[in-house]
Amino acid sequence: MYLSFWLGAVVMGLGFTGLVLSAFLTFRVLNFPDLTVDGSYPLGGAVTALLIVQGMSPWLTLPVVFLAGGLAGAATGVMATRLGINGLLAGILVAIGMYSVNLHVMGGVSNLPIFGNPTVMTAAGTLAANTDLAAAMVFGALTVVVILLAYWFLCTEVGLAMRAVGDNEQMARAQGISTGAMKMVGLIIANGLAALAGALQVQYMGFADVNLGLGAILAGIAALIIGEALMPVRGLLWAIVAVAVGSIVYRLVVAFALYLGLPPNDIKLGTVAIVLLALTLPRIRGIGKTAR
Amino acid sequence: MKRLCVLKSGLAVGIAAIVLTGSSFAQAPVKLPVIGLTEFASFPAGDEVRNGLIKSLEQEGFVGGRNVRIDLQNAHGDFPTATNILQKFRDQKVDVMVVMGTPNLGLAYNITKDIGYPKIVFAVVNSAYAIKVAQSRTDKPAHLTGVQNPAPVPDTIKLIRETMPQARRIGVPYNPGEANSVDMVMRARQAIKGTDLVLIEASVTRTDEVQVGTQSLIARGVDALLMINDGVLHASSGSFMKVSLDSKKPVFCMEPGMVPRGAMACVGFDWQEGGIEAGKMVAAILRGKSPKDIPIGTLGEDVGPTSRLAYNVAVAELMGVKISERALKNAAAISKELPPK
Amino acid sequence: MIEIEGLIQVFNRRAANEVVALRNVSVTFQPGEFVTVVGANGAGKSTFLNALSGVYVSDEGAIRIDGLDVSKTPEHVRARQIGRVFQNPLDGSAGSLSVEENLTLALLRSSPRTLRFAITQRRRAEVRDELSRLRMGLEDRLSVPVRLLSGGQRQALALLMAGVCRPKLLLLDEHLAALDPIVAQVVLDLTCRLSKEWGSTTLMVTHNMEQALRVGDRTLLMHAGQILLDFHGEARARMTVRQLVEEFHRARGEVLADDRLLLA
Repeated sequence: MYLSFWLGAVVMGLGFTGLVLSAFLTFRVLNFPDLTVDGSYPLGGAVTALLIVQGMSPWLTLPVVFLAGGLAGAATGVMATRLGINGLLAGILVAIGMYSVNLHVMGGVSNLPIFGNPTVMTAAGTLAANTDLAAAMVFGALTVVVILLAYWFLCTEVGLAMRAVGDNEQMARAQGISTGAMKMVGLIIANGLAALAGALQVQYMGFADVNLGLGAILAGIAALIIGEALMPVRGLLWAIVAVAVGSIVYRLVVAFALYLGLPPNDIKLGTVAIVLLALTLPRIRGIGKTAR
Repeated sequence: MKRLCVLKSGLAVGIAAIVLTGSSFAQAPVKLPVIGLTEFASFPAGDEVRNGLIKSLEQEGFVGGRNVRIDLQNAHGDFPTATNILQKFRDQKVDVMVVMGTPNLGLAYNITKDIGYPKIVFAVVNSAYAIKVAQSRTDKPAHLTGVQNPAPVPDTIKLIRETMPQARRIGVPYNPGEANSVDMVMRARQAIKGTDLVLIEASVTRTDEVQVGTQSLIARGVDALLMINDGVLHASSGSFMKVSLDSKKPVFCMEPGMVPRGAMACVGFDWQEGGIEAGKMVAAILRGKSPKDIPIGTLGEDVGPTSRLAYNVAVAELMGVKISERALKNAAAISKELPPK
Repeated sequence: MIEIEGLIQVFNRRAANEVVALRNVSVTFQPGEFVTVVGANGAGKSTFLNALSGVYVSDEGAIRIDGLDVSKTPEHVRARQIGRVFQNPLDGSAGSLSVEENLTLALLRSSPRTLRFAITQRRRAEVRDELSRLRMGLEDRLSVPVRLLSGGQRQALALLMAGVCRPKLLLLDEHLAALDPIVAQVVLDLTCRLSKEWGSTTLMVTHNMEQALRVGDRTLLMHAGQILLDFHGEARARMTVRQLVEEFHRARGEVLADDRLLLA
């Protein structure tokens, strides 16, 4: 019953978690609206494709991808904290510039195929005959690891300092925290995560495309908000899990709109309608939500 | 709080159940052959191809809704959505998948390469070879065929040299945000290697930048302008042609439709013909032919008239360029009037 | 010992609205001294505190803490030796973090932050211990998000956070002004008690002239960017508010006419 269709949506939702987590770190924890991901997400895809074609193990490409994304985040960080450029603008500038960078990474072509090369899913392919199931297992495992790492990080001294910066910058400074350094760390990690998400998507699709990032941050924020609305407010770990939930639900909602057979030009509208319905239904039935 | 979550999940399951049982979209009421057609994004050339394809299908006897069902989809530029659409077609086991747009071809190939179905016909793809889905017209996956449309960049460069042998500096405005445009400019750079031509490039990211961008090229001293198949240029071709006519620098383009609008010479193809050819392939497959036996078509080579040379003699006269009788004899179309002011 | 020499702070230099907020301020504070600072609006009290803490980089002058000049060090580095409490109780702590998370932040102030777990068993015990000094029962509400605390509790916590790593200098910028009188008294008592325990040099800006004279060891009256009057010891003990106003008049040749100051 349409297994690959629904499973495909779940797989892509899992793979996208890195980007939604990135939005969580920047928009929520750090209170820094970061639009760099429109550039670092496809960068991750470009880097992984480039390296896989050169013969590198698809798993080994992931840390390299993270570093590449981190560099993009660092660029935004330097602009915002050292050059005094407004954070939103800095992110936009870097994202725009990344289009050219990504093209260069891909060797000047807009589309870089990796068909026939090993991916992170081929290893698990021996465990499950269905490639989508293999992908679900691998992406699922990676998502769990990333969530736990994110939770661990935010519980460390550095992580706590970062959360303080996002909540109250003046207080953070008065408590000896370098707000500039924290923003840099946050941007580097967030964009590393976004790049990872791009790498996973590219390995799943079988090719890298320079236009992968169009609208990425919007989808990430939508998924973030959906996750927050659906999950109970119960502390940091739940908030991070909500990120993954939101990412998967977002893709399932789009899949649902496709499944309903909506006219193609109305898919986006249909997606919005379904999300609105899901978010407001509790309110209609007179059940309140605890305020954040 | 926990109760709220259970309630919400229950609600979701409820909606899903209603839809599954009652949906008349998910299942075809009658067993008609199904064509799953998916576009990657909306743009004018894509519309022309789609229209050509549907027209061609009708001419072959397949009318949507009557003896065939056409499931139209559009990913609106979103890769995960495009993937999901193709997965839906695959799960539905549609009779033919028509995939438009290079990303769609890559995705479709990726999810069918291990199983060999559904059958794929592609269109609006620059090059199936570049994306490594096929190696040649016949060296390709058995379940896949289609029509590709590489922009005739080398031929256009050749046309410039033949028509204006004294031209050296060629101005190329383009939108660096369009991957296809970047591709074409790259191929133009390749094509002029070994010649004494020099490419002067100008970036125009929005339609209101075209006039200024082109004028900057004129100011930098170009002998002619190369108009690539770029969305931004296409949308503001009026102001582009005006600059060309005012400064008397001729435009060489790759789309025949631009010649009556002020381009002096063109070697190109007609998008609609690509759609028509793809439609013929789909019809053949629906009638039982295997895609293995249908070689890939290339617009401008084996699909459509091989030469789509077009000239605008009125423009040539204005520019002081003499187009030889021989060239005119080879032309598929000759415009004799300047574009309206 | 805190030495301030020739501190000058100018805002909007060379513009039409140029303001000289601090004019050549020089003063020395002994270790452990509790100094109250009064003055009319615009006298430069907050600017003085902001210059000391590094929010503003002084145009000229030296600020020496135990002999080391910090006038060029960034705010967050200076914070290792300086504790601050702001007027708005919301400014002193992170609302979305819990009580123990906030205090942990303060405990980590003087050392570089590592990737070790922020909240450990040992640290939690330390946090509980410190919170019990407030005698507000906050040690039993460690995981409560700070935004759910009352204004007085939050300000008390901010005070604790400012001083918990025994800073050399404690800057209190009208930290009682936003609290109701009963709560303000509680926090004032805490302030006096804790600053003595911590041994920090304390500067407390206040609008309450009576309080300025009764609390602490020394009183500075600032006006127009300068320290106009400086009282301690016997002279200060005998001073009344009326006498303070007369002293002002004598020093400036003007009437000290600031309702808020006089009616506080």
